[in-house]
Amino acid sequence: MTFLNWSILAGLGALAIPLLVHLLNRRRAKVVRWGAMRFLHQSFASRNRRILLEEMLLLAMRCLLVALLVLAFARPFVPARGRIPWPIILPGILLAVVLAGLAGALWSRRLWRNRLLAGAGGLLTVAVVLSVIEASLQRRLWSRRGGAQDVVIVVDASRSMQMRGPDGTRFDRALAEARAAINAAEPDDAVTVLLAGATVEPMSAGPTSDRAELLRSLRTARPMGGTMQGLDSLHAAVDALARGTNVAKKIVVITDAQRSGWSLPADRMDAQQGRQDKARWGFWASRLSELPSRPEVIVRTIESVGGTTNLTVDRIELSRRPVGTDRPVGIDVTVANTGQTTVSPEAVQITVEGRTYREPLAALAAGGSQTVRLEHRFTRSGPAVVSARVDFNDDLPPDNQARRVVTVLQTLPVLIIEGQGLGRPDERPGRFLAAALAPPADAPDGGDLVAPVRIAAADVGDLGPLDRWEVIILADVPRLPNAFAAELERFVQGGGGLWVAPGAQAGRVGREGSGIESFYNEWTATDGQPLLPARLVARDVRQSPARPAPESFSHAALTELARRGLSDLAEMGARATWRLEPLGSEHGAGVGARLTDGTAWLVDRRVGAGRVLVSSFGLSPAESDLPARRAVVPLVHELVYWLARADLADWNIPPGREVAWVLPDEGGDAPARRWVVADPAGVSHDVTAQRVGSDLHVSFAATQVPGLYRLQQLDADGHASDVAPFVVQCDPAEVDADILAPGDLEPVSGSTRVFHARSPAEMVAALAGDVPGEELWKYFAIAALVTLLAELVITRWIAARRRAVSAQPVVFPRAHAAEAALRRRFGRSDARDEGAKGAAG
Amino acid sequence: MSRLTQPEFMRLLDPAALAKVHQLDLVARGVVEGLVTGRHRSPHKGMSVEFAEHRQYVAGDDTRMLDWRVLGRSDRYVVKQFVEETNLRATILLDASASMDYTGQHAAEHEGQPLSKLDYGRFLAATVAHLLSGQQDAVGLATFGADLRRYIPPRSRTSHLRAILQELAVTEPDGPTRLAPVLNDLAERVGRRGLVVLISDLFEDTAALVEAIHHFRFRGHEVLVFHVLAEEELTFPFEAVCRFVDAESVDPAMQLDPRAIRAEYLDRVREHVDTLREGCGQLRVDYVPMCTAEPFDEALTGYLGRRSRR
Repeated sequence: MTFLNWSILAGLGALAIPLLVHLLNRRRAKVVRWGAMRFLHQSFASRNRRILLEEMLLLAMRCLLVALLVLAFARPFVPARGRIPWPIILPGILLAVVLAGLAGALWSRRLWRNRLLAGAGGLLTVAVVLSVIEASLQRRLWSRRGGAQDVVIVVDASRSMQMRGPDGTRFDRALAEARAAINAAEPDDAVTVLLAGATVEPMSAGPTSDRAELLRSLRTARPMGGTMQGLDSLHAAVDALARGTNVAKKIVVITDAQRSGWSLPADRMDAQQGRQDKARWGFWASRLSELPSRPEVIVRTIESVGGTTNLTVDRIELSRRPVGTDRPVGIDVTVANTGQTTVSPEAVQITVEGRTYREPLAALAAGGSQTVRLEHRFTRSGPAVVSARVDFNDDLPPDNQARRVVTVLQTLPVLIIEGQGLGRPDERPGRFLAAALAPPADAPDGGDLVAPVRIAAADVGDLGPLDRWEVIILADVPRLPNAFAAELERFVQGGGGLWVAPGAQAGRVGREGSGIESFYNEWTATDGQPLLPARLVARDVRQSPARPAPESFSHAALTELARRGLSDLAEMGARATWRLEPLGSEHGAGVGARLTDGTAWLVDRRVGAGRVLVSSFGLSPAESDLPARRAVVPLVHELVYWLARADLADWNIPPGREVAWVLPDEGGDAPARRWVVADPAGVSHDVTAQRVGSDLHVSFAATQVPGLYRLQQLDADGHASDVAPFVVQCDPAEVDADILAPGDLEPVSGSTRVFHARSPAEMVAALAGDVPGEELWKYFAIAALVTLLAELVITRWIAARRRAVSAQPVVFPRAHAAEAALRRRFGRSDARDEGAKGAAG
Repeated sequence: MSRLTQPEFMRLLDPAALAKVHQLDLVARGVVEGLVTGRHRSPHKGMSVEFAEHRQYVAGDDTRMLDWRVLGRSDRYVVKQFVEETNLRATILLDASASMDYTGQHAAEHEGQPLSKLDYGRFLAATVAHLLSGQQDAVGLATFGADLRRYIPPRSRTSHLRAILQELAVTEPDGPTRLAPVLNDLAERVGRRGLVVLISDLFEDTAALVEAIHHFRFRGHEVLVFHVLAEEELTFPFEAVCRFVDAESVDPAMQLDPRAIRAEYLDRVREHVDTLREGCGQLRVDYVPMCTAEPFDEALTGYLGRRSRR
C-alpha cells in the first residue's frame, strides 16, 4: 500500500487534537473540596476498570476518526501487484493510532503512557517507511524503460462476447476498452489490434502508430462467433510483435475469459491430449525467447454484469440411426436455459425439408432444460438439414438456433451368407433372416430401408467387391475360404458391419478333448488378434430352453426392445447355443446381452472403422424359437442398423476439424468445374481437390466458425449449386460461462509476466507505464463516517447508561415535608373514616 | 441598634429560631441525674407531687413522711414516697473536623451567608444549649476534630450559656475526623447520666461509630445524633469532570467524571446512612438526619415537635 498525496500524511499530527481536548478537559476540572472522599474512593475502586475502558474506547475511536479522515485525503492506493502486502501496512497505521488513543486515556500512568506512545510512533514510522519503499518498488516495476513499445491488443470476438448487458454487448465493452488502450499508447508506440474468435484477424496491415486509423478500423469490427482460440491468438500476437521494431513489448488480451478454447493442459482428462497441449504451449513459450524482450501479457476480463437471460438450443438428436425414408424418426430438440433468470419461451420452431413445426415449450428455470420430440418421416434420401430455433429475445441471440445435418439413406444393402445346414431348405436361417429384414407386403411408399440379399456360402467367390454392402451376416456358415475371409476383414476394417450367427456346424470338439476346433476361433485380423469378439468354447444343448435376461441388456440396439416392454423377446427359448468366451475389455469386446443361465448371448467389438457382432446361436428353428417370435423383426432391424451406423459419416463436426468428400470425378477441365464451400456468412472458400483414380477427393479445413456450411459446385457460368451441407457445431462450453481464474493461465504466466487488470483503468495504467491499482479513499471515507457514527452512538450510550443506572439520590426527610405528609395521611384517614361511617349509616 | 452592640457570639442565637423553639421542651426520655429539682425524672425518690410507693417506716425517717391515713386504718407505719424530678445534664458534642467545613451550592442561608455544615452545627448547638438553659438544665459542650479540642462541663448557670456560645463562635474547622476514639474518651469524661447531643457529618466507619455511641448508652446517657450532611453529599449532582480534594487532607485527590460513579456513590452513602440509622435504632438512640439545605430552625423544630408527640 502506498499513498498518492504524501504531504497530507503530515495531518496525522492532528491525532494530538482529541488527546489535547481530553487532557485539557481534565485540567479544567472544577475543584471540589469536601469530606465525603471515603465514599468516592470506595465507588471509584469498583468502577475504575469500566471507567478506564470507556475512556480508552472513546479516545481510540476519536483518534481513529481523525486518522481515517487524514488517510482518506492522503489517497491510499493498493498497487495491483503489491510487493509489500497492504495487510501489513494498513493495520500497522491503524494500530499505531489506537495505541496513541490508549496513551491519552492512560496519560496519568506515566510508564504505560510512554510505552504506548513509543509503540505508536514505532509502528507509524515502520508503516510509513514501508509505504515509501513500496512506492519506489512500484515505480521501478511499471515505469516504461526504453521509450516506445510494441503493443498487440487482442479483442475476444467469440460468440459469448455477443452477450448483451445493460451497457451494450460484451464485445462493445471490449471495443471501448480497446479504444481506451489505443488512446493510452504513446505516439511512438506501434499498435496492432487482433480480433480473436474462431479465427484470428488483424484489424490493420501491421503494427502502426496511426491511432486514428486504428480507431476507424475498430468501428467496422464485428463479433466473429465461435470460440476464441486462446493459444492461436497468442501465437498471432507474437507474430505481430515480431514485426515490430521496438524493444519493449506488451500483449493486451480483452476477453470474457471463457475457459473453452484455451487448450489448457490442466483441463484435459486425456493425459496424451494434455501432453500435446503442453507441447503446444511450450512451442509458444519458445517463440517468446526469439523476441528482443519477453512481452508482458495484460489480461483484462470483461465481467458479466447482472443476471443474464439466455436460452440455447442445446442439442438436436435423432431417435435412431441410420435414417431412411421408410418410417418416421424422432427428432429430439433440447432447449436449455443457461442464463440466471427463469424464462417462458412460447415454442421451438423446427424446420426440416422445408416444413416448419412448432413445438410448445414450458417455462424454464435457470439451469434447466427441456427436450421436445418431433416425429418426422423424411421424404428424400440424401443429406437434410434440421434446424431448430427459439424465438426469444434474450441476451445472446446467436445460440437461439441450432442445425444438424441428417444423412437420409435410400437403402441399406445387407448381404446374408448362409451355410447349407442340415435342415430342410425352408428352415435355413438365412431364409428367416431375409424374411425378417425384407419389406412387408403392405409397406408404405418408399419401401423398407433394408434391402437383404441371400447367397449361399459356397457362392461367395462370385460376389465381387464387398464395398456395396453396409452389413454382412454369416448365418450358420461353418467356415469360409481364406481369401474371402481376408476380404471380409478388410470390409470390416473399412467401416462395414459383420454379424456372425454360428450354427451347429460352426465347430466341433477337438481330438483328445482339447476344446472346440472352429474356423471362427482361428480367424485372426491382420494385427494377429482374433477378429471375433468371442471364442466358441463349448456347445450347450439343453433340455429346457435358456431365455434372454432383459435385465442384462446393455447393447445399444436392445435398449428400445427392452424399454418397450411389449416385446416377446424375453419369452424366446434357445435349446442349443455356443458358449462364448469374450475377448476382454482390452480388445474392446463387450457383452451386450446374456441368457438366463448367465452365458453370453451377444458380444460385440469395434474392429478398425467397423463393428463385429457374435450371437451365441443362429436363427435356425432347430436352435431356438426366435424366428417364431414377433420380436425377431425389430431385433434384426436394430442390430443391422447398429452395425451399419459405424460406417455412416457424421456431417456435424466440432470446430476446426477437416471435412472430406469422395466425389465421382466427372472429368473435364479443372477450371471449368470448381468446388467451393460457402461458410455460414455466405462467403465462398476454395477447397482442396485431388484426383485419386476415378474419384475426386475434396477436403476443407477452415471450419473454425460454427454454423451451416455448404459444399457447392460451380458451373461454367459461375452459378453455384449445393452438393452437400455440413454443420460446424458450437462448443457448448462457450455459453456455459466457465470463467478462467487468474491462476488458470499458468502456461502463459510460466513463460512471461502476466498481469490481470481488474478494471479498464488498471489495464490502461499497466499499458502506459503507470502503477495500476486501486484507490481506497472511498473506503476510508466510509470508514471515517462509520467511526463517527459509532463514536456518537457509544458516547450517547455511555451517557444514557450512566443516567439509567443513576440510583435515586439519598433524601433526608425534611421536617415540614414530613409533617405535611403526616397531615395528609391523617387527613386522608379521617376522610376514609368519615366515608366509612357514612356508608355504614 | 442592639445588633450593633451585641457580641459576635450572640449571633448564634437567632431570635426567629429561638422564637420557634422556645415553645418546645427538650425533655429527657429516660431518667437523668440532676442536682436541683427540675422537669426530668430522677433515679432518686424525693419530694414531688407524683406519688411513687409506700415503704415500711424505719427509725430515722422523717415523721412528716408518715402516711397517717394508713396508720389510722391499719395501724401500720408506712412512709409515703414520691418520684423526684431533677434537672438535666446535657453535653453537646460538636464535630469541628475539616470535613464539616463544606458548604455546597444548596446550603440554607443565614443573613445572606450559606451555612457550612459546621455553621449549621454551631447554630444547632447554640439553639439546643439555649433551649436547655432556659429549662434550667445544665449544658456542657465538647468540640473536637481529630482529638478533643475543648470540653466545657455542664453547668446550669445562665452565665454558662455565654461561655458555650463563646466557645462555639471561635471553633474553627480543622483536622481529620476520628469520631470513635474521641467519643469513647468523652463517654468516660461525662460523669452522671444525662443527655448527649452529637452533631457531626459522621464520616467515620459505621461499626466503630455505633460502638462509641453504645459506650454512651452503656454509661446510662441518652444520646441524640444530629447527622448533618450537605445536599451535594446526598445527591452527588456534579456533571462535568471534577477534581475532588479531601478537605481533611487524608485521602488523595481524585479527578474523574462524576457521572460515571454517581450510582455507586449514592449506593455507598445510602448504605452508610441506613447502617447508622439501624445501629442507632437498636441502641434506642434518636438518629436525626439533617440536610444543610433545610433551615436549621425548621429541622430542629420539626424534630422537637415529633419528639414531644411521642
